[in-house]
Amino acid sequence: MAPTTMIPDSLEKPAAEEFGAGPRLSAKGLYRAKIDLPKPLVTGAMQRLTLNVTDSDGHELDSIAIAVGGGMPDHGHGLPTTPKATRQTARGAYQIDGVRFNMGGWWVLAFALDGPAGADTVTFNFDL
Amino acid sequence: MMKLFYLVIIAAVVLVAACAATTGNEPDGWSAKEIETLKSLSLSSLGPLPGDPSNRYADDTAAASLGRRLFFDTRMSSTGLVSCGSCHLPDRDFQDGVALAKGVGTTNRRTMPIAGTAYSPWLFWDGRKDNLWSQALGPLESAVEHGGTRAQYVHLIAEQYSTEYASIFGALPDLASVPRKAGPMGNATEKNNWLALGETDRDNVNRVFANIGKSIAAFERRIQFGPSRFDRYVDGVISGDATASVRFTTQEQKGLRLFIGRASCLQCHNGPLFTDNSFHNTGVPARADLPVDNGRLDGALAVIADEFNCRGRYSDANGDCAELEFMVAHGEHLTRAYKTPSLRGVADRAPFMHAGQIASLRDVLVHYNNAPAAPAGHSEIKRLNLTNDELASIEAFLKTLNSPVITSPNTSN
Repeated sequence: MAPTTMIPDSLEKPAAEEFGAGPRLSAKGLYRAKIDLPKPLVTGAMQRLTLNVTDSDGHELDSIAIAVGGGMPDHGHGLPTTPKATRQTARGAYQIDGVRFNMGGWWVLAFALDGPAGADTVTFNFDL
Repeated sequence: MMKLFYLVIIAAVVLVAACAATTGNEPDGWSAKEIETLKSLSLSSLGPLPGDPSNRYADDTAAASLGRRLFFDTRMSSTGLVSCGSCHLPDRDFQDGVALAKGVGTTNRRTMPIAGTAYSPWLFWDGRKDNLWSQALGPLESAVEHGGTRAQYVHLIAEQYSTEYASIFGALPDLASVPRKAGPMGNATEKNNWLALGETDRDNVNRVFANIGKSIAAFERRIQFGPSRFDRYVDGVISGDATASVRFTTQEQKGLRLFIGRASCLQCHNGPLFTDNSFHNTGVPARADLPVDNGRLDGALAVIADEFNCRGRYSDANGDCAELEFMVAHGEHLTRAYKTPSLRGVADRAPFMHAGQIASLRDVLVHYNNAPAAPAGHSEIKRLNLTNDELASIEAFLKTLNSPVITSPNTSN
């Protein structure tokens, strides 16, 4: 499996309140993001979700460039697929396709965002 | 007298507690979370046979019938002696029990079993095919497996199966200008013959060749696993059925506990088919007598380039190819990474690994316990420090995964 991407090597499992779909502030505080899950996350199947991006004041942002990374820091491996932001579906809403989790456990989904305020990364933690 | 009274009370409480522990909501001591894990491994969680959008004939019973005949037809080879069934033996879970397969020559890889492969997005140890019908075409043109070329097989259809073929796929094309032996994977003469053909002839041959694959795939996708002792045990745990026929021995239970726990098997061998269908380097040794084998590193590039993949002109998928679109196609970690095989029926499928490097199931467990470094790339597994007794328990559990291999009616939705 690939090494983890976009997250530090020695990431420690965060506290329970850091888990879930957000909203979460990006690392440098430039963006706030929330994930919409049409269905609960599962292992095995390829999944689609929506990432909602605002600036730090909560205003929806369009035309953000998004790359997806992450992995399982406990196991030292990255994502088994290369998920992509395939299109913007609404104000500040981006469809993310190709997400797959091939086992249960602590997963980090990281989004590198590039927009008017600059480049930053927001991470989400899930326990599958 | 009072001491005796208290002793009786204590004994009664202990007895009631012991009974509650075995007949309450935790049969055999499985926690609610563990029972959820057991359910996820059970065949009852498998779900119906998925459709194959790339093969419009996947659920066509006439195509499956033709596919079965072609699967066992030894004329599908340069020598007239090799069929798919020569290595994919029906009474051995459709594999051959040897390290390297023997067709017209000898391969560099272990024959893979067929049951349940309809659920797998990638075929072969390195995932160099992304659908079952393209997979079937690979060995047909391999110089060491069937040894033939697509022109030969297309002529065979025209001469021996034209009525069946036409009733499914429509009339065969005119093959008058197609030599007996021609194909892009053949020897120099066969390649020259192929390149000398006009584009229309090549396309016609490719289309019939693709349909041969689609017929074989229609037959193969119906080959599935029936319930094993493990599935019956999980059913029993969930329903509270304590009859002997659904019980596991203490050793088997211990092995199962280790499998879903400390032995870390579930990281890859998860889900009802005990595979995550992903690629992992697990430090399997390289055979000195074989060429360098990079596994998924090369397989990823091959599947992208395959003319019969989901995106190719012979696919019926209309470009809807999520696995190809989102696959991980590059990276050092793909070096000597191989597809996680299903563990159903594993106890009967020695020798193990992609070139049969490990002789017995016990040796496989020792390999995981020791976690040697990979000869190339980076192994994902870590030393487990399990005792011999624990390894024996895991082996005992794995034997409960023996499942009958059956051909089911299609149930795709």
